[in-house]
Amino acid sequence: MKPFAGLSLLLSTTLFLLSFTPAVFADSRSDYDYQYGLYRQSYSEFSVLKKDYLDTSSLDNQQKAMLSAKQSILTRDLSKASLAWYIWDLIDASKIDYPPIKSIFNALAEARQYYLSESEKSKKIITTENLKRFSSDYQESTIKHDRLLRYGIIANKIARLVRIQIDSQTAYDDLLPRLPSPMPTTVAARVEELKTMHASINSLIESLAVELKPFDGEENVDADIFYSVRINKMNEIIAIQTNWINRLIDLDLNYATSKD
Amino acid sequence: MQLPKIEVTNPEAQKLIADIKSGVYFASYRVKIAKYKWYIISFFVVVTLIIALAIGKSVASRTPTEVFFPPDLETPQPTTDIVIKSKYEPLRQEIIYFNTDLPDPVIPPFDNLIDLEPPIL
Repeated sequence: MKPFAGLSLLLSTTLFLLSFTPAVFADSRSDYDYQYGLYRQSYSEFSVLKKDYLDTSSLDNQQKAMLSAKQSILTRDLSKASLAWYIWDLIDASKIDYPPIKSIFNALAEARQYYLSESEKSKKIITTENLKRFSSDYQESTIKHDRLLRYGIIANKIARLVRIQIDSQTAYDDLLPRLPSPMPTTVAARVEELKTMHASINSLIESLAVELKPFDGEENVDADIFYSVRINKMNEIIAIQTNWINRLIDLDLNYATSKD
Repeated sequence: MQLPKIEVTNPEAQKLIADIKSGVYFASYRVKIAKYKWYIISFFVVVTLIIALAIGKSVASRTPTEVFFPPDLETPQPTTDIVIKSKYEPLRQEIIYFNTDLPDPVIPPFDNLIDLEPPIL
């Protein structure tokens, strides 16, 4: 019985110690950072080996360059898949259900699947001809998914603006019953202004979201103007939201009664 | 008690007394004084100043130095503003610190054409 007693003691001690070990969860951001680090490393190696191969086309150099190319493709697509997941996760963190950006949100998940499937496909590359065909096909098929990442980045900002709007509405609903009843004329006018402003912010956000048409094709999607136009619109929205919340807080501090 | 009368019989002394009485004896000194009177006046002025400074210094050293303190002001008390914060302040902070910079996150450059073909020039 002695050996069993020793074993059970060891097992219970291990389980006891494991219960204190903090659980480690990889989040989307850290996964992306890790994958992109691998890509950078393998791509710089590939660049050197490709140069060696082009300078001296030996079989050995070709083999080394091929292996490195496959590794670079694998890490590149895993990085892109992680980036798609990271952007998807950022949108998801806003915890909103906003139809105008839902298609982009779903498409990000599809893009991630596409990159993962491409990374799997790259494992089947054997010859230089395979590699050439794969890269040629990839260059065409990846465009829409790569562009979708750019749309996803804007969709994330829109999601956060919508989140602010939802929270603003909650604050408004919370404040309203605490205002004096019957409401003085000036307070009533200010409440009405808040309502109107909130509606106009909603329509501004909606127009920003509706303008995103990732599947219809946008001319300037790869240009800087694609972002700069949206930055201006978001700044405009933020300015109105700031004004709105300042007015709400003013009402809260000067007219609202505490529930406590 | 009367002082005894002294009778001078020495002719040199008698001449000297007569010169002193008549003022002839001091004539040469008067000339010298008249000649160097400004030097003498200056000398006395300087000496007087030095003596005055010496006296002033010794008097000052005997008197304890008076220490002047600034008037006793009341210690300034920091003004305490009663900050009334709204419960909606976190939302306001969220709006104020909203980052409108794009792209966020930045998409790094990826090489979509990884092959072993020579670069096209």
